[in-house]
Amino acid sequence: MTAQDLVRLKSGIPGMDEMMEGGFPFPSTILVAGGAGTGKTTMALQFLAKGAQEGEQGLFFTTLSEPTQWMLRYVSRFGFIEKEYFGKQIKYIDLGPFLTENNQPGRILEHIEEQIAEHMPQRIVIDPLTVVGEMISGSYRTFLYDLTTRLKNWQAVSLLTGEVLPGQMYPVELSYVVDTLVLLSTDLSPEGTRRKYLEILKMRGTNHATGKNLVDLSARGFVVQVGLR
Amino acid sequence: MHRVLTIQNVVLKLRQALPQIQGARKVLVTAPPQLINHVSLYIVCAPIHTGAGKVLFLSVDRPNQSIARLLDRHCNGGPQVLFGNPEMDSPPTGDVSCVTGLFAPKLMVDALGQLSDGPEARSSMVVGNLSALGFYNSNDRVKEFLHRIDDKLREQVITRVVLVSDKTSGYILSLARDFAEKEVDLSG
Repeated sequence: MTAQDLVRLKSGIPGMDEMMEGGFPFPSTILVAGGAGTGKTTMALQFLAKGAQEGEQGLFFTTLSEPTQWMLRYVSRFGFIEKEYFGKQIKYIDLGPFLTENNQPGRILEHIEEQIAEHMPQRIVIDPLTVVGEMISGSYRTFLYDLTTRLKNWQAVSLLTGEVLPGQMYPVELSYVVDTLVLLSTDLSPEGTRRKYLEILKMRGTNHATGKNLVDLSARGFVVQVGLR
Repeated sequence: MHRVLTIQNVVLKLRQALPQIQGARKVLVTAPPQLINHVSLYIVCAPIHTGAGKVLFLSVDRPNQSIARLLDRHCNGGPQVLFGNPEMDSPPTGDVSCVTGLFAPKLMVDALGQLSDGPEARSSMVVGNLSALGFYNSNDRVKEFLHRIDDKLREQVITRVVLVSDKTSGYILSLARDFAEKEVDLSG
């Protein structure tokens, strides 16, 4: 019996697909973990923009109560994304108000699934998911388990971003329930400049590159300099 | 220039192909893997089934809950949706009967037998994503599954079957092509 290849969706991040056999397995769940300023949201937007270019539907859930126009203002400086995508190929959904009024895990999951059923996306982003942990009543671990199980059933690639506290490598409770773990980090160079890095720590069903790779984050977006450490 | 295959133009192509499907008993529809959901759902709710009886939807590797939501949301209050459990004793009734989670090798074939042997013959069967069966079953089991569908067609328990598949499994695709009388390619 010959092995059946996994379907893969291109990440939209220059340099990254060649680190992971051509793209993210479809469907799967991905955790992009990193501290402030490491590029989590930019990477997530680039992932959705790539989907929009490919004719796919994307759903961007923000948990930060950030109005759409606020997001668009920052996004407009990036060359990789067309403003016209928003509202069409990329639906932007602010979960903030819902989370403020509803802290029951079951209701939050229902609300997320209603949106997914409505738009039938191939790409989903929840940015940042770790905020939800501070807002819900009940077990965060159980919530994460339920969320990732349900996301996998929707036939999409779901990219979840996770904030990392100083001294923490990644959100441990999330790392076990996802298929892929991408770590974004920074380091001070000997010259005193802060460099950014991307590392794939785990990717199920994929022979992926290991080790830290230098990242260039500019108006062009997020670019991985594969092999540069 | 790279032609973008959007959901909209895949559905448009499918809509244009419906008259060809209308008269065929065994149809294979190939679609990009990431759009299989849309294509399967569209076919389940498509006008080819209108007035022709019931639709049995064998949804591979999708749980009841998400299929229920999709049908409820996108079939515009049309068909009544009831869900079958592969281990149940009697077939479900309703305009759309849905069997999901057919990833256990034995259940897949058994479910087909149990759910289509009811007193009311169903007119159409939709299977999606056929190719995904390759992840959970041996090639022989998939072959047996198609033979079983053929038997049901001969016995007129079902009068039409539409297989929806991507092209990731060459072997399953070739089996499906041998099986089908008509192929609609939405994948390129």
